[in-house]
Amino acid sequence: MPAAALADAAQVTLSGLATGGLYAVLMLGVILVFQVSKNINFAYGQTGMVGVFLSYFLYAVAGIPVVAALLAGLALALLVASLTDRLIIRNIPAREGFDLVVTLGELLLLTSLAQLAFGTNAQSYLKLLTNWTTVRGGVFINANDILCLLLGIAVTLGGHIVLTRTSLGTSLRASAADAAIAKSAGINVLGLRTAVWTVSGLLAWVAASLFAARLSVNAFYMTPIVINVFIAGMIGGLDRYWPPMIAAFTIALYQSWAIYLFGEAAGTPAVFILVILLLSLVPKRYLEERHEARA
Amino acid sequence: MGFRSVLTCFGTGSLMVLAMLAVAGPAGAAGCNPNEKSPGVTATTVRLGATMPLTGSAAAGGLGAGAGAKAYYAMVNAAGGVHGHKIDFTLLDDEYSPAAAERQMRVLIERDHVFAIAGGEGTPNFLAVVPLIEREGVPAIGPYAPSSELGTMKTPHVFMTAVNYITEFAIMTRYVRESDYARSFSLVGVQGNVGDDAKAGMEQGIGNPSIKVDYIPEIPGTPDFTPIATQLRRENAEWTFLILTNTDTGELLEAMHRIGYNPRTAAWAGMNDPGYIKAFGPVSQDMIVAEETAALDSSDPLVQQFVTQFTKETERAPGKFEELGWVQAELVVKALQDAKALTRSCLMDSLEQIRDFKTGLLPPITFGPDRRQGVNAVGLVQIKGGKVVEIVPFRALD
Amino acid sequence: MRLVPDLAVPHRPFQRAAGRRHGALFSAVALTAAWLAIPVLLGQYEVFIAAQVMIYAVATLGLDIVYGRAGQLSLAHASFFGLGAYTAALSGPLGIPLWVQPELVVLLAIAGGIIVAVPTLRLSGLRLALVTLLFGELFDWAIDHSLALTGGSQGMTVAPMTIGPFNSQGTVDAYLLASIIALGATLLTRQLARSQLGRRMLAVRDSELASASLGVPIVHTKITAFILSAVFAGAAGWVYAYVVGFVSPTTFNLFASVYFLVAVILGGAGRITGAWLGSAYIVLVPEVFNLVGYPNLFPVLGGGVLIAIALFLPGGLVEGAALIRAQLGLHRR
Repeated sequence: MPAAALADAAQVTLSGLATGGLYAVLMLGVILVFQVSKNINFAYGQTGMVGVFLSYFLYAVAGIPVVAALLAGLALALLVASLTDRLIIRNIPAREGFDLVVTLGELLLLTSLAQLAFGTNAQSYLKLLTNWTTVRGGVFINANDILCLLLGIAVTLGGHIVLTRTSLGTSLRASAADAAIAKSAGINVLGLRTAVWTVSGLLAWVAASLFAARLSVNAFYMTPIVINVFIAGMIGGLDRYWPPMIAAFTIALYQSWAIYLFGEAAGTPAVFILVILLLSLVPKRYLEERHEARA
Repeated sequence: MGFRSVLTCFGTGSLMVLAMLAVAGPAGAAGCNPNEKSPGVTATTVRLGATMPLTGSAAAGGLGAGAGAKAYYAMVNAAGGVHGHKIDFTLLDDEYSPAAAERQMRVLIERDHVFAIAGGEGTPNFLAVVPLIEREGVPAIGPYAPSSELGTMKTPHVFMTAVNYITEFAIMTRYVRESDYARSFSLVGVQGNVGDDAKAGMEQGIGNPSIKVDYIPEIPGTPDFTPIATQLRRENAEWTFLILTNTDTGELLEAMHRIGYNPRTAAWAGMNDPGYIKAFGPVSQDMIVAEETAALDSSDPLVQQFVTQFTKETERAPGKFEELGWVQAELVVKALQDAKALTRSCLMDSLEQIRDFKTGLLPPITFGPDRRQGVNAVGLVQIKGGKVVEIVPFRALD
Repeated sequence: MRLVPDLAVPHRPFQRAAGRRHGALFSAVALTAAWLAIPVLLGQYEVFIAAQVMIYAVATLGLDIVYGRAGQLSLAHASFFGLGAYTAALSGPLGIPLWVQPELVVLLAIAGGIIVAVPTLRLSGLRLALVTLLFGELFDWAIDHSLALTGGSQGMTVAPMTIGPFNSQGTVDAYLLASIIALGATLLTRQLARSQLGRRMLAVRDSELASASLGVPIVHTKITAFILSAVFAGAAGWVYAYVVGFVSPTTFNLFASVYFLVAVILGGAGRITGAWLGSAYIVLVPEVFNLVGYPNLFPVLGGGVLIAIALFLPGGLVEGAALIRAQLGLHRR
């Protein structure tokens, strides 16, 4: 393989893994929420988007210092995430798919409110290291790529350690397995649940900020991203830990290569073929959502 | 993927539309009939309508153009209107969506019974309503909908002032060939007839079949532009031409920059926009951009007059989209004023008589009994710092 | 004292039955009068909108079968609607005669229903929603990438359906065509609700485990629900294309599927009147916002309404109306 082709291959792989790192950050939020409350939040990406858009608006339009703007955006993301649990998810009737339906409503609401409040133009966000690049063997290594990749790995390992090695993780798993028993054992199940939702807001905000630096901010930019994360979650299974986290990295890498080799038109069918193949090939027991409360 | 069709549905072609139009109705105006009954005209008003994207990802264009048109009509109405008729202008939101545009055009034609369609903004949304316009025989004046499918006698009711992308890219490429002796070109374009038109224009501008254009079609809404940037770097052309949404243009340039590929760039007229330059100026330095409407700081007295009048009407400074809406309205009013009577056939006749109409904001406009493309010229500007500098005034493809 | 209630009691069911019959008769007369009045009293555009409500009601009834009755959340419903619409649109250029088209739409919808249903049989919850969403995406992708045939994202014009003096793009003709299919779909759904299949669907929705233990053929029931839903949507799409005269992928994308879901839930899942009310909401409310000059507020309202209804009125408007009726009845007593 000629050096240039090798450099291109490394470039595509690096960017795919960096995107995968951010998918993993988002995925951890999705998994944690699913494990404590058995819910899927379709508005998950928008939770991060509104925070990032607010930060942009505050520092670029209102002229507030960047750090204060970032903190305000983070606060908004945390607030939206915790309110989604407290006001919406806790009150959902126990009916198949209502969590999806209600959060689809929230997605629509947040998207249109963001458009009304912040406008419809895409805006360039803070650089967050995207402007730091070094060349190694013809491969341009961007500091933001490395940051995203390392963050993804750190979050993946950190999440595993917290869930398996800490008392917090034990409480979480106990609440996930049986909330009533966990409560009788003295665990503040509802408090823990809201805390987890808030953490998911933090993760969404981190990923949304880094994606904004790599792309730009508008009301829609997180939606296709979060759909890819859900697809990875669907492939891996949200009641597990390692398979969905690995799927997050893999699906980003897979899409990058599909687009590089076959053009952007190949992106959608490539994922579709992967999902259908997996659904057809994996054993049935793998698809059973073991802890899913719905009949 | 996902919601990308909502993000944008930049155009692709439809031979079917043209096939339908061929059987749709009478072609061309059969002369002015002052006694004909036309809808939308009362003793005191003449009702005009347009659809533009007022919400969604392309709303900036529609909101700006809409404001420009409204300001012009307000000025005309304040001065007594046209032939004693005040202009009643209805602007509806088409969300930049072909389906929504079709629905709204029905509202204008079937519910509001407008006399004519005055302007418009966006190609896919306007192309969607052309069959309805032709079927109902409503004159449509000066929509901004660059497309090689419009501007001919296949769509006789549509009077175009927007240069199509074949001409725009041919003029731009010819300039690059002449000024830079460039020998290798790549193009990233929205998949469909927009990208195809740009490619055809580049090939025409290059004028040398041995020089190929490496064309990469794009679909809006990707989470990572690096694979496309890497493809471009592999081709390693001296010049990369872009015909994408503003957001995607900026994001692709950022990705190219990140992987160290910095060719010279040229883009369609959409990048000649303060919003784009504010967001993506740093990665777009020296980019050559087509100029379809005159620079707002031009010394042309007609342009200065527009800036003054618009500011007086609205108490704010105009942008490029406001300029576009204003000049669309100016052309409409000119045609109404010249019409022998306020009937549709007389309006068509009046439009066909327009020769070398100078607005200062667009290149001079000329229509004729067999001519529906009123403008065939663009200028070129270059992004320098936070603004654009004109490098070539309006020029036509000879 | 005992005599009075004893005499009164046997009469009350008859009175109620008679009351119901009168109520049904009154409703039928009122609906027929409204149906006749619309094209007579309203303008060209309003009649067109009424036809749209009826067409969307057919598609919403379809989603109600698979989601409201069988409990299978589908985000590909708009694609089935699109399948029918593009069949009509392409029939002209491909030279498919009119009399073949309804059969073709049904066959394609059955095939589409099976293609979506089979890989999703083992799934529920998020997986089911996402796989149906991916099917929807694939449909969009296929339209976008068959430029020469479909015009891609630009859309394509549909020649009207003409039979003698009938022209599907004429206002009253469109209204009639939509009425016929809406009436057919409503009667079919009513029949389904009373059939064994309809009851099986409800059983599968409420508990697959319990249904299986009672011998309900779960796979068969789910596939049938998907097929019926696809056929309803396909038929509605076919009429839609002929009435509107233009199709483009945005009418059939994910947002459109979400709006069908909004219609079902807002009206009241598993209820015919609910599907009609939901359809009226998704067609008429954007028109109202448009009329008052705030079209961009509709998505905000749409999102808010979806949340509010799901949280506070999970049975939808129909349940809300029943609650109000019960309240009023209580007060009368």
